[in-house]
Amino acid sequence: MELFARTISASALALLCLILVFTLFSTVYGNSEGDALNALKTNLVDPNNVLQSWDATLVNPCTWFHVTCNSDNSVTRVDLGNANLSGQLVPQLGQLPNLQYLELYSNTISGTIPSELGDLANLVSLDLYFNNLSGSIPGSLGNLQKLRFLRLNNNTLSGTIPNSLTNVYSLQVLDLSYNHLTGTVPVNGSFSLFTPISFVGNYLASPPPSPPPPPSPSTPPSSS
Amino acid sequence: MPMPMPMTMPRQSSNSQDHHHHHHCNHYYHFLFIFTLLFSAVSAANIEVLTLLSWIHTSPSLSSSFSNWNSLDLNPCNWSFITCSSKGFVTEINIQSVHLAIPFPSNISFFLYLQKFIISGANLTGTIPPTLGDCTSLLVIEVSSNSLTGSIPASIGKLQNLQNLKLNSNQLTGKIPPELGNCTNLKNLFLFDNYLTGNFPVELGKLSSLEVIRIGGNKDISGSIPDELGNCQNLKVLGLADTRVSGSIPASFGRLGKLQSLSIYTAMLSGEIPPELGNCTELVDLFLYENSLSGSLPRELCQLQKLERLLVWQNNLVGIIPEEIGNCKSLRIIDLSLNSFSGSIPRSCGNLSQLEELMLSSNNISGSIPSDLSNATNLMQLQLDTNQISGPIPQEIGLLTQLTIFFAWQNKLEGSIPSALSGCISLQAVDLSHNSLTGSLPPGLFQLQNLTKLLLISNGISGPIPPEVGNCKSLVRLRLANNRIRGQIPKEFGDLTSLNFLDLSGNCLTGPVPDEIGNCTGLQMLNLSNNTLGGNLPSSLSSMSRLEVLDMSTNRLGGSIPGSFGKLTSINRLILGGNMLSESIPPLLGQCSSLQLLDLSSNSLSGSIPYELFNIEGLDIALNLSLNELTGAIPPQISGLSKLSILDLSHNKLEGDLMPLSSLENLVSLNISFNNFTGYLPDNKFFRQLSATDLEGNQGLCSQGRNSCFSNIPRTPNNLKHSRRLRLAIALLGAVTLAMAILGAVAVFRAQKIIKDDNDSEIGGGHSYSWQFTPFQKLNFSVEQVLKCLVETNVIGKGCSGIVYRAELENGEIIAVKKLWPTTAAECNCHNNRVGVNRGFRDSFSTEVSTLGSIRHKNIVRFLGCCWNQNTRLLMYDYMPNGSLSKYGYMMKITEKSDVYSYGIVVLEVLTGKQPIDPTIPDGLHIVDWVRRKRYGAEVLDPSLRTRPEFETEEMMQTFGVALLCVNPSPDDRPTMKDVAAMLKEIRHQREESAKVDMLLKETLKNNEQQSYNGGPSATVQQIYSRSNNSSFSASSLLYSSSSNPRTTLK
Repeated sequence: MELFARTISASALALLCLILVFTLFSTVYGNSEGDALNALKTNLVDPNNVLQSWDATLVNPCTWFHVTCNSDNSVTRVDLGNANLSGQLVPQLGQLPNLQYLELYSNTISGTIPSELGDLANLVSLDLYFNNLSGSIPGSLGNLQKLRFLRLNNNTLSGTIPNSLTNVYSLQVLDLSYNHLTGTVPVNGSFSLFTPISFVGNYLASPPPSPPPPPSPSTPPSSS
Repeated sequence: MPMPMPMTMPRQSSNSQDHHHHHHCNHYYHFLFIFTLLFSAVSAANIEVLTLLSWIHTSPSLSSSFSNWNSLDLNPCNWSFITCSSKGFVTEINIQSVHLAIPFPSNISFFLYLQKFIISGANLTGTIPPTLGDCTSLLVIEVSSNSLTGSIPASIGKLQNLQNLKLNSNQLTGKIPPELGNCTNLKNLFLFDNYLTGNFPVELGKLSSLEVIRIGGNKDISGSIPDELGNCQNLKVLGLADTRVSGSIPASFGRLGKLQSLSIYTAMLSGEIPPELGNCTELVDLFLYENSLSGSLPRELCQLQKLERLLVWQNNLVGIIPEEIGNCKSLRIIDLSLNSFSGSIPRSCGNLSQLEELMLSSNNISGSIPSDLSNATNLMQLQLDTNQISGPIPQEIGLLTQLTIFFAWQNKLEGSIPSALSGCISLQAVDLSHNSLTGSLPPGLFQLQNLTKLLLISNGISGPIPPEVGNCKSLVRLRLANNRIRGQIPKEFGDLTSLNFLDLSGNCLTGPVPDEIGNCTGLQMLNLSNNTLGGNLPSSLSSMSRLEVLDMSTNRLGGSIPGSFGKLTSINRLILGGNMLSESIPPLLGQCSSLQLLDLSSNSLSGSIPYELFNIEGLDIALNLSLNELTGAIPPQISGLSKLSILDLSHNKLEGDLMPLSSLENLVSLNISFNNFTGYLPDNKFFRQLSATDLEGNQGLCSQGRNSCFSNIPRTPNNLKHSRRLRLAIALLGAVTLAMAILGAVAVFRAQKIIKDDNDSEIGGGHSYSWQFTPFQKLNFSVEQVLKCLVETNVIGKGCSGIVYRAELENGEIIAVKKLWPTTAAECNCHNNRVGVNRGFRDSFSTEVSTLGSIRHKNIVRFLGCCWNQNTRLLMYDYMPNGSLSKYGYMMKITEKSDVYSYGIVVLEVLTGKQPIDPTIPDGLHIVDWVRRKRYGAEVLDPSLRTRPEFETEEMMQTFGVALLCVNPSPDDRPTMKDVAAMLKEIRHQREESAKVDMLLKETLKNNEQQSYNGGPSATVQQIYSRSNNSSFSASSLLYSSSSNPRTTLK
């Protein structure tokens, strides 16, 4: 009987601990997502007040405009394309564990792409195209195993295309065009799908030589 | 105006004799040497003049306050910022908040009698010279808020008289020199906000005179706080915040009887708060937040009669809040948030008559809110959220007339919201969400004239919203969601013009949505979902031009969706699902250009889907039109929604095929089930991965044996027209570019061979189908040879539309064969209109083939031919060795706009006489990039074309313009072939016009020989020009809009 009671109380205690841990976790969780986005807000210049509703004192960022949450009040989308934003991205963006869409295209955001974006295990779409981003493409983006759309085109990204990206087999759309990328274009893995259109307008090494061209006709004499 | 003397430091070694009094500093001699040469009368004071002038002279923009620094003065004693001793020596340099932007004076040791050296907020740069330690008279060194770099010289330890050392707010690096422990008279040590590293030096504990130590804001200072610091009996302030100091707070601090401020927040402290701190009877500020302190809050702290601010939030503190806390009579701010305190709120808090802020959020505090708290009448902020607090909110809380913020959300509060709360006349924000509050909303609450936020989400509040709500004009954010509020939405809401965020969702509200809500022009978010609201959607809502989110879902709203909603230009999410809305979707909704999510599901909407919706380029989150009565086909314009993630059209009566969906490349979720869709599925990865449940319930849709239901190249019905346009355009180009034979029609030799296939089960699919073979080149191999090579080991790539094999033929030739994914019409037994669809499919296949066959150019892999039977279609290309797979990939993604791109490339090749990747193009550039880099100058033209008559080269340049439009990097920005044809036609048209003009001109000139045309062409001619220019649209108007048209120059 005593043993039974002890078992009951032990399991009750365990349950209590579990609930406690969960409650603590979920509380911190909600705040940390808001904090992460607020860090982004403070690093961005927002002439159109698009981020006006981003009130850091709220329990979670789920009522902020341009932010979408799932039913657990965790952020799944950040939609700030064409928002006339400038300033920089922040490493804290990596602290949004359920983020699926990070849409910051067609702004004038500068600085580098934080390597912490590679922590966004659920990211489906990363659209940073048409900005002023510089620096290299973080190799950590190769960790994004759910990424389907990666568009970084029309920035001033430099360095080589990280080989790790070829491991992202979910990748459907890739656009790295019109940057300052150098080196060669990987052709293996997920990259076997992509066409030169994804890479044009860079300083990438020319694709392997096509069959030798027919002997070029000698320039005809100018017509008189 | 005296000019600062231009002065350069001599570099040669000094051999001058030392006939002056001795000095420690070597620089001195250098300087003195020059000085001796320049001046006959030598005095120490003049050295000071010279030193100061030569230092200040380097400033790029000197403030006028230095104008009395005259080089002819015998001493600097009358200069601004300078104080001298009675004997005429500088004792004080004091320059504050004057922009200098010059280095730290390097010859500071010349000032033998200097006692106070203060240069702060002056953007002083460079390092602090070690010679500073030679100025032994110094009492004060204050060079804070500059841009100094380097380390703190250990020689400062020599300054026995030094009392104030203020080096804060610079960029100093390195360790804090332990030698500072020798400055026995040091009282104030300010080193904060630098980049100093290392430990807190134990030696500082020797400094019994020390009163203020401020080292915070050096993020890399680590290690523990030395016990010896407890010996600094005179210490009043210790600041180590925002560092990485770790370990526990020394118990020896209890000996610091004069300590007023202990500020070690945002650090890495652990262990317990020493009870000995209770002996620091002078303590006013105890800032220990954001550490890892554990244990409980020592009762001994409650002896601190002068303690005003107790900030220990975000630690791991446990236990109860001592009841004795009420003894700390001076307490103004208590912040214990984000710990694990338990027990109840001490009643004695009510004794704290000075208390302004009581912050206990995020703990495990239980019990009820003590009514005694109402005695703390200075209370401005009461934050109790995220605890286990139960019981009712005491009526007495209404006595807190200073209270501005009252947060108690996420607790277990019961009972009703006390009407007495209206007595808290200063209230600005109230959040009591997520409790078990019942009863109705006290109308008095809305008399609070400063209330901006009222949040009562998820309680059991019942009764109606009192009409008094309209009195609370300050309201910005009102959220009453998830309660049991009944009755109608009072029309008085219309008076709340500051309202920004209104959430009444999840209640039992009835009746219509009052028109007056439209007066809330500041509203950005309106959520009335999950109620039982009836009536129509008021069109007055459309006047809320700032509205970003409108959620009216799950109500009983009827009538139609007002077309005026198209005026909601800020709207981001429009959610009207789960109502009884009828009639058709207003096309004007297409004007909601900011829309990212549109949910009209579960209504009774009829008619077809207006294509105008697809003008909303940013519609990227979701479009849900499911569970309606929509009819008609999916408009092809849906391809405009290239960013859309989720599309749900299920449970409607939609018909036609699904080909318009093929270009929605961002789709992640699609449901078109239970409609009347027919035909094949677009053949792409997304559709191949789609689950059957997303497609079910469409009787005419090919779904059995899904593998065979994929149509390879999805084409819209105007496909045939498109290819005609392409041919037309090619023909036009030929005319314009004067017989560029490369584009001459390729004679298609159709040799239809019939080949038995009974050995390759993979290709034959178990059946024997005959093969048709269309070579586009002269080929020396048979289909049979090709088929033999289509084995797994030869696979060199897989793409969206097929597999690419490397095929080595019997004659040694190597080709690449793309096998398109199988589409067997024969297997599609379910299909009613088999023949028609089959023909459509055949047509698109043929179109692709004929297009590719007629464009034989280097930028595309050479297309050799194709062969097919009922199961399989093979395309054959030149084999490109390693690394060229992407080019095959390119072949797999031919769309209308990539045709346009290819066409542009062809034109560029023709006009430049170069290949896309040409050895004569420098830097290995692609032809497109090269032409762009050349800024469209005439030198890009093939040299053999440059000699053509001017009007022809001009036409060629205009054609260039067209080509460049075609190769725009963004497919969306490329013209259609129709546009291209029109533009090319226009170029020719212009020429014809100009020929006419030329003729007319000649006539005019002949008739008016006597007329000088220096003043410009005659009116007639001008008229003709203006007419011809106005009527023309050409590429040149895009490219050369600013340049003069050569033809307007009279020849």
